Amino acid sequence: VGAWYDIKMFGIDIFNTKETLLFVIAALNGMLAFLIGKNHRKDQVNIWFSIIAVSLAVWAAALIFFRILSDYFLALIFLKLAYIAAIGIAGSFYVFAHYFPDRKPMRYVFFAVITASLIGYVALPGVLVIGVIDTPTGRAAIQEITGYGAFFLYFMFYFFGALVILYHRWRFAAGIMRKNIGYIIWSILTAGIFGIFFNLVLPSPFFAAWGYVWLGPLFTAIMVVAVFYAVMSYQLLNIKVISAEMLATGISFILFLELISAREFSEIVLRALFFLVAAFFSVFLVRSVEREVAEREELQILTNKLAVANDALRKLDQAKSEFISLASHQLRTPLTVIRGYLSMALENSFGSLRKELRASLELVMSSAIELIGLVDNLLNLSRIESGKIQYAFEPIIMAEVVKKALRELTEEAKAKGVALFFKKSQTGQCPVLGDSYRIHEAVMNLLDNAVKYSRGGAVVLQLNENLAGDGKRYCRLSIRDRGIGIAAEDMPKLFTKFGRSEDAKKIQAGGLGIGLYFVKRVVEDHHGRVWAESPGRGRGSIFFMELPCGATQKRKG
Amino acid sequence: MAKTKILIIDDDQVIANMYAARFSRGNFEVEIANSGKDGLQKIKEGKRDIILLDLAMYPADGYEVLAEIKKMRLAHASKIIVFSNLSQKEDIERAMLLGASDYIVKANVTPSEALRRVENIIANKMSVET
Repeated sequence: VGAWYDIKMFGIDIFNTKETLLFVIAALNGMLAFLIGKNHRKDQVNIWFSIIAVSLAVWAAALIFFRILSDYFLALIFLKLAYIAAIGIAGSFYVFAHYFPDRKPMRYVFFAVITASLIGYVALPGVLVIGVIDTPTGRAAIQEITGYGAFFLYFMFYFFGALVILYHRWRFAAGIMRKNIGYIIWSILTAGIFGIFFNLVLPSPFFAAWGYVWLGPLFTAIMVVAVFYAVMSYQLLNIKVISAEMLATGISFILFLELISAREFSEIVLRALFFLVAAFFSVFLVRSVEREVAEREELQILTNKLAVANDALRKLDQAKSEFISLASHQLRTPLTVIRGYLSMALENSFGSLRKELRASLELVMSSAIELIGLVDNLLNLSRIESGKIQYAFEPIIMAEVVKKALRELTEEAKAKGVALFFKKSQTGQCPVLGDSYRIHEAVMNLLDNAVKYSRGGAVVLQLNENLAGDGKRYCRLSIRDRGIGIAAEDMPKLFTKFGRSEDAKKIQAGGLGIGLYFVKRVVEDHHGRVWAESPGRGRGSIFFMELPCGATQKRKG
Repeated sequence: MAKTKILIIDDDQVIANMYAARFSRGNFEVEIANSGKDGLQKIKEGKRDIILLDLAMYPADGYEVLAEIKKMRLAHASKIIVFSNLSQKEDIERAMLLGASDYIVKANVTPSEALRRVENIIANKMSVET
C-alpha cells in the first residue's frame, strides 16, 4: 500500500509495466535537463542538450497519457503534444550539433520559422492525428496524411542533418574529442533508428501499428547516457556532481511520492521526517561533492598552466641551442676566409713576403686559429651545459680513432716542427663500446694540446690493453709531449671548467679552458677516466685516457 | 696527366673563389656553382670527379642537393665531400647518410690542407678502383 506506482491520478487505473518504463525514462530525462541546465546555464551546448532532454521527457510523458487516458479528446491532445515534443527533439538536436563541441554560431531564422510553422500546423485540429481509438492491440490513433508527411519530412531532415554535421565534426576531430563525437553519433543513430521504426514508421498511415510506441522512448536511454558522458568528459568535470545530484534528487523524489501517497497521520509524519532527513543529507552531499570538484578543477587549471610553461621552456631551450649552432656557423665563415687567405699568403701564393710582414701575418694567423678554437669550445660548452650531449654507443676500434686524429693533425704538427709517433698496441685491437664521434673529439683535444704546447721534438702516442685490478680489461691511450709541462699546483684545476695553468695562458692567451673539461666529461660518460702526469714545469707531460674494453672483443671471444 | 674535374658548390662567393684559386694551382679543373640549385644544374650537365658541397645555402641547401643526387643517381662516379662550417654531430651524420664521402669543417683547414685531403681521397679511390 502506498507504493508510488499505485498513485491514482485523474482517475486513471494502475500503471502497467510499459507505462512504468515510460515514466522512468521521462523522469530520467527531466532530471537530466534540470541538472545540466542548472549547472551550466550560460553554455549553448548545455542549454540545447537540456532542451533535447526536456523534449524527450515531454515526449515520453505525453505518450503515457495518450495510452492511458480514458477521455479520447484529452488523449488526442497528449498525442499532439508528443508529436510537438518529437519536433522539439529533432530541432534541438540539430541546433545542438551546430554548437557541439566548438560552439559554431548558427543562423536561426530559417530553422525557427520552419519549426514554429510546423508546431502551429500540427497543433491545428484535423491535422496529423484526427482521432483516438482503442483496438484489440491497444490504444491507436487515426492519422491525416498531409500533416504526417510534413512531420515526417521535418523529422528526417533535421535528425539526419544533425548526424551529418556531427559526422563532419568527427572527421576533423582528434583524440578524446573524436572518440566522444563517435559515441554520440553511434548512440543517437541507434536510438534514432529504433525511435523512427517504432514511433514514426509503424504508426504511419500505411501500417497503423500503434502497439509499440512505448518502445521508442526506451531506446533514448542509450543516447542520453552517451551524450551525457561526452558532454561531461569534454568539460572534464561535474560528472561527479551530476551523479550525486541525480542520486540525491532521485531518493528525495521517491520519498516525496511516498509522502504524498500517505493516508494516515502517523504515516505522514514518519514519511515527512524521512523526506526532510534525506533532503538535508542530499544538500550536504551535493555541496561537498561540488567543493571537491571545484578544487580538482583548480588543480587541473594549474596543471595545464604548468604544462604550457614547461612547453615554453622546452622551446626556449631548443631555440637557444639552435641559436648557438647558427651563431658558431656564422662566426666561422669569416674566420675561414681570414685563415684561408692568410695561409695562402704565408705559402707565398701571392708572391714572397718580407720577413717582418711574414712575422706579423703569422701572429694574425695564430690569433685566427685561436678564435676558431674558441668558437668550437663555446659550442661544446653550451652542449655540455644544456645536457645536450647524446651518445650513440657502438663498437669502435681505438686504434682507428687514433689514426684518424693523427691524420687530421699531421699538417699542424709539421708546421710547428713537431713529429708525431704512434706506437700501436702489442696486446690487442683495443675495441671499446663508445660514440666514435665524441671519442674522436676527445682524442683530438688531447692530441691538439700536446702539439700546441710542444716546443718542437716529438709527441708519442701509445695504445695498450691492460688488465685492471677489478678484473676488467681497459684500453689505455697515453700521449707524451716534450712541452711546457704542468706545475704541481696547476694539476688539480687541469680538468675543471675554465681551469687553465699560468703557463698555458702565456702560450695561448685567448683559450677558455674548456677542452680538457670536455674530454673528462666524455670519457667519464663512457665509464672511463682521464688524468695527467708531469715531472714539473717545462719538463713535458703525459696524458692518459682509459676506457673499458667493449663488446667487439666479447663477441669475438 | 688529365686534370681532375672539381665542382665547388658554395653560396659564399669569397670562400668559393678562395678554394678555386688554390685548387686551380693544383692539378684541378675548377668550376663554381653559387647555389644548390645551380650546383644540381651543373651536375646534370656533366660528370665531375669531385664535388665540394657547402650545406647552409639557399635556394636548395646541401642536404637537398645530396638527397637529389642520391635520388636521381646523378653522380655515382663522383666523390662528394661536404665542406661546411656546421659541425654538430647530427649535421655530419645526416650528410654521411645522404651519401657524402667525407666531411670537412671549413674553419678547421686551410685551402692547402683541404687540397691535400681531396688528393688523399682521390688516391684512395684510385687504389680501390684498380
